[in-house]
Amino acid sequence: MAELRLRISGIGGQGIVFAGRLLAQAMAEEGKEVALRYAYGAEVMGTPVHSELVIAEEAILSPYFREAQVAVILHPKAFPEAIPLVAKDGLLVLDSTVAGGRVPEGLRVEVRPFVARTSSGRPGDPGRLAPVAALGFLAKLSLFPLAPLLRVAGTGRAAPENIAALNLGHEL
Amino acid sequence: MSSKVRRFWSGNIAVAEGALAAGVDFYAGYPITPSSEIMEHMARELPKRGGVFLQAEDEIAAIFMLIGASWADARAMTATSGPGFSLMQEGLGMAVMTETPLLVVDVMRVGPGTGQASKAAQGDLMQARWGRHGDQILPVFAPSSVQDCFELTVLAVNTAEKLRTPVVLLSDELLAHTWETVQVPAEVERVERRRPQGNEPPFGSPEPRLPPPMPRLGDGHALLVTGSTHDPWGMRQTSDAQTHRALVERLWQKIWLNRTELSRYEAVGVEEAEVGIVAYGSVGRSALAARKLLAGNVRVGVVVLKTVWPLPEEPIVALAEQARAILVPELSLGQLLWDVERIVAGRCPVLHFSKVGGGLPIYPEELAEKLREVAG
Repeated sequence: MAELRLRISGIGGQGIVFAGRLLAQAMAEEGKEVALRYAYGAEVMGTPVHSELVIAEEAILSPYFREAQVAVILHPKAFPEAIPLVAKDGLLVLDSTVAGGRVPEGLRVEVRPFVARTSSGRPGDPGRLAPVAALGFLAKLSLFPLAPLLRVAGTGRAAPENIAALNLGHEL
Repeated sequence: MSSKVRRFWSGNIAVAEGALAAGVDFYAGYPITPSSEIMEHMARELPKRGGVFLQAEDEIAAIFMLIGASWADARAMTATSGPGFSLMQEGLGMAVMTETPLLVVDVMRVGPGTGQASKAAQGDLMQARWGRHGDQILPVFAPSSVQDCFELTVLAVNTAEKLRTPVVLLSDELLAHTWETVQVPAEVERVERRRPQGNEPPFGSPEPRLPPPMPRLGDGHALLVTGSTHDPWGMRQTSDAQTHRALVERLWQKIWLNRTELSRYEAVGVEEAEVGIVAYGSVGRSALAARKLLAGNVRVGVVVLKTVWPLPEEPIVALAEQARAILVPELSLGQLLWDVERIVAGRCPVLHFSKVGGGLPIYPEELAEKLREVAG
């Protein structure tokens, strides 16, 4: 598609902002036009957070959009405010923990166990690698290539687990 | 023409990088969302470049640290958000009165009070202009893209130095947390502060458009820097009406008479507009996008204001003389609206589009729907 409008929603502590930055950086380095916006609540941890991206071949007129063509929801708390903002014929990618929510007709829905499969098992971990795994899954759906994500994720202290999460998502 | 480098920055990082490019070498502040990334970036980058970074005990201390640093020859800045901006008003007033160059960045969020921390709003427009007591004026710039965040920060720092005044850069949460590609020039202009030549008074100027020269603390001038009414040599004159009038008129005129030079705006499609939009900040982007959404159906003229005080009036008048109606979208109950109504002065109807709370943008689609309705 000429312009991809993607919203990733979850809660503070899951790494929703990180995932947005990872994808944005990877696409920018690929030469794409990218706009990223993220928003979080006052409490940050445990409250709804989202990252919004526009990825395009040409200059982006506005980074602000109402309806996402592709929406990823990774926590039940984020579901109520995220679901009305999906385009009528959009793609909805849900974590298994969100799958019980009421989804409008007409959407293509994919459900995967991102949180369960990436959980560290440590108390209080809300699934902090789930958004990265979701990016791997979106790459599997050919929304964008996996290679630049792996390249950008391959730096920093958390590189091994981020790369593992991308590859895991790509196989789900 | 100098070459440019592509960077992928957030609005907050672009502000910090613009300040560094313009030579800011002193930062004092107190963290508050959604401005905190500016402070974090300066804390990392300033010491590497020989600058000074201080985390103050609160915003009141921070703004007064800026005043001291500026008189010691630093290019000084801070960044804050609503509650912190309120605390800084006293210091900003002193900076106006003492003609101290400095930059305050206000990244607007929902208020009043603590409001909705980290959520986008545009409720500080009037505060940025009028927040201080007394007769006073200072320039206020408002970026509407991440590129603007860089360029207008450079302009703001240079304006502070050139006109010897505090300057406010009025950003908002949406811009602060939006990341985009920025074209960064290899070098930017740096305006040098004018020093006294011979026996020039430090607080007086024979030409109202020009600020007085600014001595540097420690250079041997017998100098009193006071927020009280003072004569051209800085001597306190706290009862004399004539001295006070001469001072506040000069402080006003050095900004007001330079308003054309300070004027920045983007005007698109004004000449053939059926309907118009006047906006600023992040909403300006949505206005331009709405125009594109309606291309071929409704002829929309857009004026995006980037100087919001003193206000560029000419493009608004031009739009009002052409359009059937003007829409003013704002993330507030209506502040820019008052300006536009005053400037339009009955030439055409002025309509408001308001969204407050929750931190949501005014979407281009919403504006397009409204404009379609207005155009009939």
